[in-house]
Amino acid sequence: MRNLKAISLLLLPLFGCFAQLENPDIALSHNLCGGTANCMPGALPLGLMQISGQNTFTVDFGDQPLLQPSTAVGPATVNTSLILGGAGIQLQNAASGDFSQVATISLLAAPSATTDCSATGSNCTVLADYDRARDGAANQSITLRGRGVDLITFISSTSHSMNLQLQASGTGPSGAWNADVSMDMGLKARANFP
Amino acid sequence: MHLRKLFVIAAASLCFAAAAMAQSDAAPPSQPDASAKPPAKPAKKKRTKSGKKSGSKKTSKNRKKKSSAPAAAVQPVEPIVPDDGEPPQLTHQPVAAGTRGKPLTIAAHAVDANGVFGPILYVRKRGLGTGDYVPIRMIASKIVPGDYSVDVPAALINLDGLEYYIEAWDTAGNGPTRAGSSEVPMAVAIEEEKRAIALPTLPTNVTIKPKGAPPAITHAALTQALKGKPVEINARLVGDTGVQGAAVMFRHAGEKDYRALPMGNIGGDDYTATIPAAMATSDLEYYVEAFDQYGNGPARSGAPNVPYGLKVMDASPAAVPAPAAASVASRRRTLDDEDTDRTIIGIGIDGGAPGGGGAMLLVRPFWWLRLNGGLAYNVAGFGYRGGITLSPADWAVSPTLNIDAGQYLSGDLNKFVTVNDSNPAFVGAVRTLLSKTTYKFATAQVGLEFGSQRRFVFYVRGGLTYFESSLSGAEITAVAQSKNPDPNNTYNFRGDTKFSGILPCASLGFNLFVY
Repeated sequence: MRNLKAISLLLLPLFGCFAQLENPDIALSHNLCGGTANCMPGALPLGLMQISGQNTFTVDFGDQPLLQPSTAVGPATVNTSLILGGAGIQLQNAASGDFSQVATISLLAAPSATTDCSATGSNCTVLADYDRARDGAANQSITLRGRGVDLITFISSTSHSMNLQLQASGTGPSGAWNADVSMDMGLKARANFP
Repeated sequence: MHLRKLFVIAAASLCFAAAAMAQSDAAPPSQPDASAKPPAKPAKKKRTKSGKKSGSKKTSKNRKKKSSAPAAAVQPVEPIVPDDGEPPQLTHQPVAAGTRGKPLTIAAHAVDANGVFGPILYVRKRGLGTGDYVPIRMIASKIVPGDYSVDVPAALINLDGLEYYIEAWDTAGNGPTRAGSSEVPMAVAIEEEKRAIALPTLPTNVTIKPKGAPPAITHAALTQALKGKPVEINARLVGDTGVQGAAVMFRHAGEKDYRALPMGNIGGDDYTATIPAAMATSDLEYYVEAFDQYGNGPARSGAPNVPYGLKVMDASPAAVPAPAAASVASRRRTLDDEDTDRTIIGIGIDGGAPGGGGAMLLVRPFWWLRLNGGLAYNVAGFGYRGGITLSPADWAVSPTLNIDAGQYLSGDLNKFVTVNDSNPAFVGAVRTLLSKTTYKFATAQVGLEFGSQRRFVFYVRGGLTYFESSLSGAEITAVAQSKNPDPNNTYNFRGDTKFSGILPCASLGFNLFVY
């Protein structure tokens, strides 16, 4: 009991102490087709946008430090959040046309890196979305409004990747097209003592 | 001689002669009494004019007449005293004032070998003529030979003033000797009787409040002074009814009486007085007092029986003894105190974790406040820092509150961090990032200082430090990109990454004040 009190007294100055790393403006962009090829057919009504025949496409974050929901570092526990503030789809080839006929588009995340979203995406979480009626017509790029989802829970702690899905409506660019999907994220890693 | 006076004297002589004859007829013979003898003044007067010889004959005739009187009336032969030819000696203490309606006693002393006739007091109302004097014979004292006195009747004292003189003859007719004269009399002023005025008794339930109130005194007591240096004593005197008679009352320790040193107004409610350097030779005691313009007071800071002690010390700093723990309580201060002889400039060196150490220049504008500024060093790099320290006590062990802030302009954390990773690109990117570690910090600490605040203190401190570092977005991007396995992915840390935190900290160091 006495030792517990002594330890408590020694740790008392640590209460309220922390170390924190934050950057509110991190962008990770992923090329849907990989390279310069236009893998997406043009002038097709949009629905589930399959990439290479898959309902989802994978984004590998890499073995980045701090990309763990919770990590013990000495006496401190590091908690990390990666909040998606928004997303964007940037047409890579202007000759493909534009996104003006796109009515809606949503970016969804699969529950885990080993799970695909269903064709309707019902088992996935909407991360960001675009609605032409709400956001106005798009041209070469589409800006998706984020929903403040913390991506860290969707990133595999082993593969460091997450599966994403695009669901859209309307009509795509007139020609075959390729695009970069970017995610604007805010990183915050905080170590609280003890 | 004035005829009126001559007449008065003659009448008085006759009166005495008749009284003596009546006494000799009615009473057995007794010892001769000079005062009862009939004056020979009129005869003497004639004799004076005609010569002593004729006078002596007449005197013998008188004796013959007496001797021819009936046997029962024969007086025993009085001893014959030869005429000394001198008037009596008369001394008199003039009476300058009397009380209206009260008898006025006038006394004189007269002696003569032949015996004194009279003396006669001549008194008149002030301002009347020389013929208006009233003669009153003075009565011989039965206790002191030669003393005479008379009470001027109260009825004569209801005037604005009296004038008088005294005249005396001897029984041989020599004289007169005068105190004053009819032309130059002595004046007596008649005054009203002074009566004690009984004030009406006030009801006990009535409170009489004097106008105004003593001023309020705010004074930071001085405890030390330098020998041979003037001692300035300041006070703030605030009174709704003004300030008057503000003074520093001081004395050397051991003395009984205080000396008053008037305080002068130096603007607003502030007053000052300076004990001269010549007085600062040994320990002093003082208090401050003041009145308002109606005389209410004194208000005091300190008191005659509980003065402030002012220790007078040698001017040489080396001779100033370090404060002993036992004397700490007596040197306790408040934040309002001023101490102009305190050292104000010094240097300080400290070290601690995680903030590193530094060398600072110290400036003490007030004894309870220190400012510091200087270089900071944390092994990784250099920076600058500054801060303030509050030391609200002047004890051998004094608590402090310290706030510092600064910035490290360079820093290479690779000295302390080893990056182990199989990805050399990542290692390189991280090392690049760590080689440019700069940060800002702010520290709040409480501590204890040991030693003399005047000269040297050693201290230990503990508290919290806040740090904030900006990591280059490009370098962070390089680190992230080095870990990016997918060539289709591109990282971009658009802004700098902020690394911040609050950590416990501790430090120790010393301060040395040199000026």
